[in-house]
Amino acid sequence: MDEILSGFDYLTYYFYLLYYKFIGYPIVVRICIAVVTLCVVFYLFLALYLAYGIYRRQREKKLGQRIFDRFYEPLKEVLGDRENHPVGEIAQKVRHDVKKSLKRQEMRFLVQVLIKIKSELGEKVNNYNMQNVQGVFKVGSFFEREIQFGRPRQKIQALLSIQSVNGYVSEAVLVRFLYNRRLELRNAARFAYMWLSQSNPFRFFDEDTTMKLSRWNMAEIHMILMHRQKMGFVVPSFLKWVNSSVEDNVKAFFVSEIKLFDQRDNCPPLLEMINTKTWPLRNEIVRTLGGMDYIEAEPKLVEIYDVQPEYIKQNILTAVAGLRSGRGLGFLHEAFERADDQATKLRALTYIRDYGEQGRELFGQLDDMAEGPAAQLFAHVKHPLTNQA
Amino acid sequence: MKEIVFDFFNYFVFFYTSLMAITFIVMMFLSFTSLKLRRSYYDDNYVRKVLSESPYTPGVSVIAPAYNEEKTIIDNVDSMLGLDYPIFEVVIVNDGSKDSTLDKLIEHYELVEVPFAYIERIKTQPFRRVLKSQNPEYRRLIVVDKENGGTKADASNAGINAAQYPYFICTDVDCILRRDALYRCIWPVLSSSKHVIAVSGTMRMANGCRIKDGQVVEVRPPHTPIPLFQNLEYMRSYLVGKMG
Repeated sequence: MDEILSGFDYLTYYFYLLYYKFIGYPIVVRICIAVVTLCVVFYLFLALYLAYGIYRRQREKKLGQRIFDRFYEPLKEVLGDRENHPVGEIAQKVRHDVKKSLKRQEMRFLVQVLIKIKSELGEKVNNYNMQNVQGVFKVGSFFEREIQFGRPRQKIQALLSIQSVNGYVSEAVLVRFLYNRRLELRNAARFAYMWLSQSNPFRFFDEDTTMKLSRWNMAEIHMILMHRQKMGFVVPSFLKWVNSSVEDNVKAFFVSEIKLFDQRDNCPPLLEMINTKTWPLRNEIVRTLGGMDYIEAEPKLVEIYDVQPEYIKQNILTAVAGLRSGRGLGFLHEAFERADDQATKLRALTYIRDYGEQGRELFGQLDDMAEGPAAQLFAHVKHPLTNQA
Repeated sequence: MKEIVFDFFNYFVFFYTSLMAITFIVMMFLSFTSLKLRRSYYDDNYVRKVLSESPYTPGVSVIAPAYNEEKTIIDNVDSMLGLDYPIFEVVIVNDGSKDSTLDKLIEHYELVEVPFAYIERIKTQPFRRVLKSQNPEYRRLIVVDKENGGTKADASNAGINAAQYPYFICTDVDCILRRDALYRCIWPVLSSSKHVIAVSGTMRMANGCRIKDGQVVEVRPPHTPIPLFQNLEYMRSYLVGKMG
């Protein structure tokens, strides 16, 4: 009677077939065969997974194109229209039944359409209509569902999209993720919270003094602060976080924000901090004091100039040149004469030329005496096309 | 003796190919997980929104050596000047071209020689002159004319010496960069918690692709077999090898 293989027997059969095929070979060869066989199985699985992924992406692409073709033009017209439209009217214009909801995948593409229109229209977008469009499609509910029940990538996408479309979700939804152990999700939730919250949006800076920020995070936070300022919210004083933060780059970031938000009251304490041992922080303090035209800083900047690394020296030159106190020209001249770094020399020379009438006169005198490589520097500074970008 | 040699050769071939197969598959798995992760956190629109007006956006110099590229130089430079990024410059290094590459650049972009204070941070073959455009539309372009140094690296170094921004991209002048390539390249530098010293892109062949105004508008594989295999090899080396 013939025996028929079934189920697991197939695997056992082929395993032993392979096993006995190489039984006479050294153990190393047999191990190698086994590993390659496993890899081939894994490779086939991956190939199938990739093929399925390609099929799924093609399907999504078609869906995305359908949503785009259906809603892009009518939404662009509504959002670019100066006249305010109520929800019902917008629903009619875009031919969408308010009682019905789009499927989740369709909503994701719709949000992308809204983001695209907003980036194209820029400041011309009608914010009232934008809020009503989100009401028509129940975008707020969609965001909340995505954040609560979506996969991590979908959560992060939703959190980022809230800022892009001036959307809204309840703070209660965000609170769950503010201390999530996944860094990207935690940061996205925190930034969305800062964007939306009307009560203590910057509590994380107080709570987490050891917080680390990448330069990307700094750019995001700056954008949020600018948005809040535009919406009429008060921008907090950053000095407290300069003092409380442990990380030096975070301190330097808040010093930079002091300059960008023109918080002049913070200049005297910053001047006292200029002798900090951390060079990046000192560099940022120099740039901030110069950028805010804090004339009282000039003597101190001149005093510390000689013992700084080259990049801080260059920023001190920028700061003193910008202060235009009338006393800086002599310092700039001396800095030019004594500099051994070409980039520093070039910078000092540019600032001498730009230091008003006296500066131009001095520049002319030095130009007449210049020879060799120095003459090249003067020619570079004088030419209108150089230093242009 | 002969048998030993044959056996050794057989085992060598066997182990070598096995190792290659295992390496490729392991790297494929690693690159698969890495690509999934990267895809999660990069959002085109959001990154552009944040960096387009941020004071923290660093400038990037796009450095492209050119040697005897008269046929395509204008289209390729136009493509680079059309990149979407708020602060960048394009440094073309004419590496002693013997054809009319430089003449075409001068004529098309209204270039004039400028007394550039060239700071030689890296030693290269001597440069002859630096040219910039009188037309404000091409203010981002700077052309360095130098003697041929025998290698592309020498020309790239000259471009680095002339660059004014802290970050640079070294590319070939006949490469088409995506319009948002600079955003994509700078994002991992800014977002990483570790100190990033270099970022690499993925290259693909333009054969078969539809190109309009210096940009690839539709990606398609090549139609003929040899370029098709070459394209596959590119994808394997970048998406599997490098990413893995």
